[in-house]
Amino acid sequence: MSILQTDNLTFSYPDAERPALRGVSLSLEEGSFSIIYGPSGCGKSTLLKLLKKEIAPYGKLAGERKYAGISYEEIDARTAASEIGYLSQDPDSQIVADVVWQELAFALENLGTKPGKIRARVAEMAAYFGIEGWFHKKTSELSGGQKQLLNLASVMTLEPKVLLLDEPTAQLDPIAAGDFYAMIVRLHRELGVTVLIAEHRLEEILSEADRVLILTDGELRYSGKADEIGTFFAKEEYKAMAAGLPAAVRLYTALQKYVGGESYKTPLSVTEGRAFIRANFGNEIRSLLEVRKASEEADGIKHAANTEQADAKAFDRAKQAVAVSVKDARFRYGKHSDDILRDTSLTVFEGEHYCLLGGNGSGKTTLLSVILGTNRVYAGSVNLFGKSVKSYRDGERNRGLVAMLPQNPKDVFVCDVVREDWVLACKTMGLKGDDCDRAIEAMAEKLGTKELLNRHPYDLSGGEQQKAALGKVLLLNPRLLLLDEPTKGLDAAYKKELKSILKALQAEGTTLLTVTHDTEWAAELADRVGLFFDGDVSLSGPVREVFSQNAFYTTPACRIARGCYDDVMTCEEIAELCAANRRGRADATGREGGAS
Amino acid sequence: MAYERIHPAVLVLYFLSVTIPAMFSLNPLLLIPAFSGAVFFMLLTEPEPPKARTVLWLTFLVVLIIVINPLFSHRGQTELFFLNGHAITLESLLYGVRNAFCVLTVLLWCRIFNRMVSSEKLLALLGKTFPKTALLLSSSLRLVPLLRCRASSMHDTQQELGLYGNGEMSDRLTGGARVFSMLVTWSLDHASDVSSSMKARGYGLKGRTTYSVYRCKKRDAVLTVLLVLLCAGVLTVMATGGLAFTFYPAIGMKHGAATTAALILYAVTALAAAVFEAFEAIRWKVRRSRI
Amino acid sequence: MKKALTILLLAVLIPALVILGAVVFRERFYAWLALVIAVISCLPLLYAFERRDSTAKELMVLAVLIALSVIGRVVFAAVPGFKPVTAITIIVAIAFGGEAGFVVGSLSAAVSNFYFGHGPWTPFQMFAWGIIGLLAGLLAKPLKKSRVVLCIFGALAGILYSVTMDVWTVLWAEGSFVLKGYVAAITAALPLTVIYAVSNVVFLLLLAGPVGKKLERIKKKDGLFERRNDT
Repeated sequence: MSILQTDNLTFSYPDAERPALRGVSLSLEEGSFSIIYGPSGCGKSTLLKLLKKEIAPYGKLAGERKYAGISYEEIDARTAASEIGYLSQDPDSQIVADVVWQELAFALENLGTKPGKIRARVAEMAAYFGIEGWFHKKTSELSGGQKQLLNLASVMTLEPKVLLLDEPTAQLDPIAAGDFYAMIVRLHRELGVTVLIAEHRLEEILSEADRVLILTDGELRYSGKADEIGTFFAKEEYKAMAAGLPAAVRLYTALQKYVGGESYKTPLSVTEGRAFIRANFGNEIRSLLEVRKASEEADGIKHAANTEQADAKAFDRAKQAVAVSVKDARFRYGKHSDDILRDTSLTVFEGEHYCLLGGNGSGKTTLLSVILGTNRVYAGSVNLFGKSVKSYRDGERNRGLVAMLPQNPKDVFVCDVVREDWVLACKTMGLKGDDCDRAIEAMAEKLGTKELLNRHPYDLSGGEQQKAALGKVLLLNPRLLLLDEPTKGLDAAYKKELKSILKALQAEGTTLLTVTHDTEWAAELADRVGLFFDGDVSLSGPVREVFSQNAFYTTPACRIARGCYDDVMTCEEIAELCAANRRGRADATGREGGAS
Repeated sequence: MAYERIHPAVLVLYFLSVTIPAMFSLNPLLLIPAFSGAVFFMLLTEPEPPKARTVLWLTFLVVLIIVINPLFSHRGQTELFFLNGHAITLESLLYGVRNAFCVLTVLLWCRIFNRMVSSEKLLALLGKTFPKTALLLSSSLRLVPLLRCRASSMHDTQQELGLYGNGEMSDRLTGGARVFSMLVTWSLDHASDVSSSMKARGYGLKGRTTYSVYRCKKRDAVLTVLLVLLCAGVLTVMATGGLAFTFYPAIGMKHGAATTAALILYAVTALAAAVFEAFEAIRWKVRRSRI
Repeated sequence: MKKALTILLLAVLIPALVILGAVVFRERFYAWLALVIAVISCLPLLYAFERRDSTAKELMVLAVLIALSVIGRVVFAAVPGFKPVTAITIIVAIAFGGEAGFVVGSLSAAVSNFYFGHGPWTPFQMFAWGIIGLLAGLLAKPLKKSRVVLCIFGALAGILYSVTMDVWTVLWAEGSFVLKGYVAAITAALPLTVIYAVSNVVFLLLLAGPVGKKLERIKKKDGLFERRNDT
């Protein structure tokens, strides 16, 4: 039976030129697990909000919404509140109370449940979610992952039949995201809750879904089984959207033309991806570098994209001058707290892009603050471009030397219009009048943010906000740019844009130091990577070396290629090697055929 | 601590029955058990000795109150010496001493109260009669650390972006006002997000109930009855003037069986917390030895 | 039924507490009376707030404003007397009305004392800041019109706060209300009073414009606190 149903749903926000949703018809079976996939701004959040009656946005609505056969207009307020649960992406903005147990009781109190029953239900929930250990804790002391689990538990106290989740793990690190989805899967399997998730990053969750809905520009483009989406994304017009899909799916879309036919099941997980390669391409040729070398020799031209050479070049250039040198640094936040940096050493060469990977709360951000000069180490040294960070006068550091794009781009803005904020940055640099205007125009041109300049920074989408923030930071003209989790919550399209901006910066000679969880991002951009662990950089080296040797902390593509191919880091590279193997096989059969 | 197992309402009642007689009776004999009860209790429950700064500040306060009273009040018949033509009397000096110790005792009990009855417990009590206010307080308490965190990360970023100029007072003030004003914008956005989450979980439906994790157990009922009886005894004697004490013109005090009884009842009350903690600690040691 | 019961309870409770003080605590009756008045004068206003249906948004907006003023008090804790609580209370009251002003003022005191420590001074602070909020709400029109009036009101609010807290200081240290002692206390607290008044004016000048505008905008956009006009 269909529990949630929309019929030709069309919705426009007030003053909007185009409708946010156009003719969306969908029907969710009771107990099903569905994912809505689409880039930001595609209308998936609007759709989920419209399905949650209490928070449905104002605007022009046409079409029908039904819950268990009853139209939304006639549905009883209590039923709507308790039987349809909703969770959004920011863990902090869904917590009302100061203490965990108060938060757990909140929804039940709203429904007017008798205290005795609340006691039982709250105890049940705390036990089921493993919250007992922090039942009396302050909500502000929880980690992001715990907060989101608490939000989920709070919704679950009402025993909803349907769960609507709007990018619930966008603000979490990969470990916490995994835990959260494990809980969703458990709720679905053990309690039969109907689940509808809107996501633009499907690595962890796609294989669990029994249905995928694809939404672009407010229209539903696809609705079908998860293991059939490869065919959809192989189409030229949707290829760009594939970046948020699991590595195995991306590999499949890139190689579909070789396997031919739409009958083949799309591989969803690492195991299936590996099986797909072995079955269809084999691994007679294991090294990408060899393939590229061979093709160059054959062509007689030197490709700029020669991987080995590019890697070597980056390394050579890096050897020339040192941008950041941290030696045996020790740092702690208070006299009596623990050391966050424990004899940390890190060297970043001028002109390179260094990516620092590592778990949450391991001290990566603290290391950045020490390099930036906001925090001072109590032992060891921090040098910037050959001089101790302490020896730069106040204000000297932030003018043309080092700047940081913080994890939360909102921190960058203090004005009601983006342009005013950029003017403040110009003021810091001592630019006035026309010079200032020229600098702003040039920066807007470079980042493609012209149309954002006259808007309120908080009205921008996540990606736009980050570009506007980056513009302000870059107006300080830094030689060294620090980036703290730049890809957090960004969809594939913005990631791509940011990637090209950063590549251009590096080409201009800016040194980049990025802290991230995103291994794929590091694989595509970094010259060298390091793994921050236990207060120190415990592993550091050229990116290809590190990722092809690491078994756990590496890109999904590396995991698929493990034991099969030797030196590939991304899906594109695997695809290249697969194609080479296919050619090799064809040549071999060709030769054999010729001989016989 | 053993008091953690007692219902917060009983803890509040206990706090009031110790502090109110100490504050509102002039009889200094009440202050002896009240003061020693507080000190014993703190010795038993506080993991660290008080900071030197706290001790210094309390000493300063005590000395100040003792000195100020005889300077302003020249009542009393035993003149000690003259200052600027005004008599400094023994009675007014002693009155100052009593006031100083009263303030000190109540401050110590307030410190105990703040430790014993956390905001979590106080709100659970308030929620019974003022549910909306309790929810509002709980939300505010949740927001204080969150907004502080936002404020400091905005401030750090702005410092690096050069908002505060060269650190002159006017630059710092206008920069600070900008950051605060943006924090307000952020907070109002946040309020709107949280309120949709509240609505999504049914806030605004009629007939909201209030829940508290604290349950009244048999022990709590017994303790309440005991406290009410002790308190009633002390207050009755106070009402009949049995605990009356005069400083001016001469020091004088009521004697008699009622007075003695009231003092004993009050001493039992004031020392009960410390005794209870000590008893529970010993009992725990004995029980643990059997494990 | 519940309402009638509460009113009855208040009607019985207030005289009972006063008589209790007169009989039992006659030696320090004034101190008792002051404490009782501070506590009880907050109750009807909080009770009125309690009875009103607030939307989730109104409640959360009040919560963030309380939190902001508490943070202001915490940030400036090192400078005695210099704090933005009064200014924020006044700005809120002008935008959202007297009841919101009272709630933000009095609960800011209650919440911040979870950090600074509660004591018998809590009801007095709640009373003083609450009343300032209530008054600012009643005088919203003239206060909105002229910055000079606003600054004068801010300075007076600082004095009102100081004088109220002095009542408590005297009763607390002296035990009974002696005019001479009170005058002495006011004189002794004069520097602090000046800081209160000046800090209110400074914070009002810095914040009334930008923050006031933001509050007005959200009020108009979401129709917050509108019923205050019919009461």
